[in-house]
Amino acid sequence: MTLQNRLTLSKPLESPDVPVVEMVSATRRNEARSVMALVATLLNQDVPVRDIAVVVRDLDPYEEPLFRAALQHGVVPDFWTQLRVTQTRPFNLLVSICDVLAADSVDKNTLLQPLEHRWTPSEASESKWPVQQKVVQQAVASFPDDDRTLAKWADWMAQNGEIDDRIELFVRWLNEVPEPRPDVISSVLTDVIDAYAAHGLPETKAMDSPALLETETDARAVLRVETLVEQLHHKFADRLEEGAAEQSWTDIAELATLIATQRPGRREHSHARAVDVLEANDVWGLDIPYVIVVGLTASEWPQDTDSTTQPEFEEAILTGSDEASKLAPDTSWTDARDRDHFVDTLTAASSGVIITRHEETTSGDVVHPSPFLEFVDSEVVPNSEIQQLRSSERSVPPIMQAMLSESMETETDD
Amino acid sequence: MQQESTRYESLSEQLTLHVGDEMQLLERAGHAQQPNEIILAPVELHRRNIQRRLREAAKPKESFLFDDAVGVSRRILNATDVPTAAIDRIDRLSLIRGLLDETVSSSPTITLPAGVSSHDPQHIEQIRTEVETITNFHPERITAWAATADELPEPIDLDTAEWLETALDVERGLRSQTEKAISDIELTRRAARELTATNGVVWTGTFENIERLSLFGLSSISAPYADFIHSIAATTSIDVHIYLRRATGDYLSERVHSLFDVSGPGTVVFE
Repeated sequence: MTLQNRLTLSKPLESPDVPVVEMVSATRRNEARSVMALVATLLNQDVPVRDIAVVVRDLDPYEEPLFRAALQHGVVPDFWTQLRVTQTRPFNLLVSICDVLAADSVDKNTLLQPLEHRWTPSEASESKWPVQQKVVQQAVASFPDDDRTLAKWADWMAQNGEIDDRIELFVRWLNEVPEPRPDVISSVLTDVIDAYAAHGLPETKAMDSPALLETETDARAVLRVETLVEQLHHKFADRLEEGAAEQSWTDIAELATLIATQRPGRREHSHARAVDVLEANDVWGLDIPYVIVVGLTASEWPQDTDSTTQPEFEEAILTGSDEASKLAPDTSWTDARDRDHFVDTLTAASSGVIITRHEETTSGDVVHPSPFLEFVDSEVVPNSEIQQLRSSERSVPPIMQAMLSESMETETDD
Repeated sequence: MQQESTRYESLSEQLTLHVGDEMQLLERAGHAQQPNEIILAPVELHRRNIQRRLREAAKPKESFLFDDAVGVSRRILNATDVPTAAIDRIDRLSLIRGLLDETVSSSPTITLPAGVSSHDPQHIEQIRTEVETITNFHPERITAWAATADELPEPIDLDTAEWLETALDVERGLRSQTEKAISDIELTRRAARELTATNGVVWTGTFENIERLSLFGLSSISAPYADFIHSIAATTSIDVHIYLRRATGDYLSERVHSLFDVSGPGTVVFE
């Protein structure tokens, strides 16, 4: 009886009750271009942006190709993903400051790194700050190569009349930062981030593309790093009390990185003009007319999980005979969790599903289709029509045209 | 087996399982002074998706209280004198590193399974978490683990038994190092024990107007979730609905009764 139940985890899935089409491309990059060409075409046909969602199993391998393809087709994508804080400028500004303060003596590159990340004093005039990259680079080139203490750097600058005033001000500021007590790190680093928000962020905006994607990331990062400084303050105080950390900037930088990499960033609200790109679990419960399900290959759907228990033990729990029935089975030990995500992605579509996949890796190896495709009745879009979709004509493939007019009819019926 | 059904039977009137159909909740949305239904969705985005559906359907959301098990547990514990401070993963890794430090003589001994390095706190923390997810450290499930491991072929039987020992050693070690709860999950066990100890009085005090609790979005029911839901169903008179997902729902529906077949949900082997 329980074995029978175990088998229900791999029973056939139900095909959705809306039309499904499948687009096959050569490589992942081509697939991404087909997806964004389709999005652009749908938008062109007056489909509202909120009526479209692009869904992937895992954003990691797809974020970059989808982003490039979106730019090519004039689409603004909004990736529902955790912000990688450690790759942002405000975070690196913070860490570079800790790095300078941590060392007994520093070289010129380490010394000037915070200026490259747009360090600005708390009270700065808009026209002078942040210091232009070119000026920082010139300083790096002209400064001596040896390591020096901050006090020595400050003395050297005071004696050298040719140093940019702002660089001198920065080094004096560094030299005056008090010993790192928890309240000190909080006030010092908060000032730094506030000044970044006031002077560094507008710089990003000035250099950004019209869609302001970089600016959005930068602004999210500022918020995230502000929260992080708060957490850092408390955690550092705890650590000091326990004797698990020393009152040093090295320990602070380490702790900051630990917090940044282990606490997931908050996901952001969807952007009003952008098309949502989500991971499959995140589409649960939604109702969206056109769902484009990307990456239906054997390596993406399903994906192995990294559980460390023995497969025989997992199987005993899944089957659940006798005592094992009390133990909680994890369905991600099988492909069942991915099946849930896949079925709920299909369920979210109210007018039509467009499934896409690719057939080879960049090195030409074959990429097999996902086993989940066998449960879905789909019509394959002929290659010539995909080509047309991606050309400047941007014509909707005829089988999809039917999907579109069907949903228009439903709307009029209502 | 006989006993198993009796224990579950007593809950089954209050407990309803569904597969799919989660958006029935749109029909229940209404204007209310106070929420009367807890929407328990462990994934934050799922709570947001439900709220988006309510907005799109122009339905009010005041009758719903959105939270996860840890949030609901904190509310329960805040109404009592039970502390809710918990350490996080970063703290745990740092404490585990300390526990494994052989140079400190006061460190309790931790049995390490073959192939696991004492310099790999992440791996050791993963073992602790997996055992917690499967057993919630409940005495009956710990016994069930040992019995199940025993049936496995050599050498997997011993490896699996050793795993359990490691996890229990680590959890015990962590408990000896801090006054705070070892994880947020511990708060759900504390809340479950409070509910049992007061026979639901703390629930009524905290959630006076709540008539229904609905759990959404899970592909697996972990032992901590099972025990938490079990304690609510066993000590209050509210209706509990579990909305399972479409591919795993039929399977999990069959498993729920045995997951609820423990006495004193939230009890742990350490006390």
